[in-house]
Amino acid sequence: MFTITVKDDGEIVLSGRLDASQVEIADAVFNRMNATTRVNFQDLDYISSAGLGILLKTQKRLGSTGQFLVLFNMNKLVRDVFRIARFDLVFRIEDTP
Amino acid sequence: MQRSFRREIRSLEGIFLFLDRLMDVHGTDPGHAYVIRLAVEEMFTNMVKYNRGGDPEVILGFECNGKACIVTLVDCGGVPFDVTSAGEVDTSMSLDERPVGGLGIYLVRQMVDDLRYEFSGRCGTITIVKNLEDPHVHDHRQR
Repeated sequence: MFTITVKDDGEIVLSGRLDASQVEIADAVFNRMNATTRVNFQDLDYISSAGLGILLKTQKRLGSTGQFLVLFNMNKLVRDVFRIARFDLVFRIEDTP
Repeated sequence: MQRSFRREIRSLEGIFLFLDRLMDVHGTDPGHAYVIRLAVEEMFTNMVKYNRGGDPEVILGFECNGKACIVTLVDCGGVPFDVTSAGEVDTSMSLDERPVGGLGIYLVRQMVDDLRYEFSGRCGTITIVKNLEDPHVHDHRQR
């Protein structure tokens, strides 16, 4: 089960399991972004390369106009995937203190 | 324990259910369970995307003892593809340079303890080993 919610202030909240069977749901929302956006990972339990690809594609598109994604509230297991993929180099990730 | 799953992306829900039930029985910790789910998803989705001429179903096997979990994916028919020989990914590239795809096999190779491929008859078998006595991920592992 995966859900993606857009809050009134534009923040994106991800929840559940973002696997290859769910990327179209995520892609539909990320495709509409055209400004710097905060993405809250607090309730996201799992992400695979399919989800990482959506984020990377969005970051590339936003970057062409000087905008970007801010990723925050990742749990440790999801954060490990970002670290191994070395996505620290291409995303702004705010770690929970 | 083994079970067959249709060669389609929506099989992932059933695959996760199958794995989660077995890993619950074995008390697999969340970190190791995450790596096993991810490895199976990446290998299975590769079979769906790149071996469309294969048999309608892929056979997933799972066994776990106190020291390791071993998962096999048997893919018959179609084209052999040795995942262990897939090209390296340069993760030091800048945003502009990084390709959107190709990360799945890289992640698996970094996160599991052994990844093997054998082809015999008309079937390819991927074997994934995750040691349970080591941390679920290793820093700066080079393969």
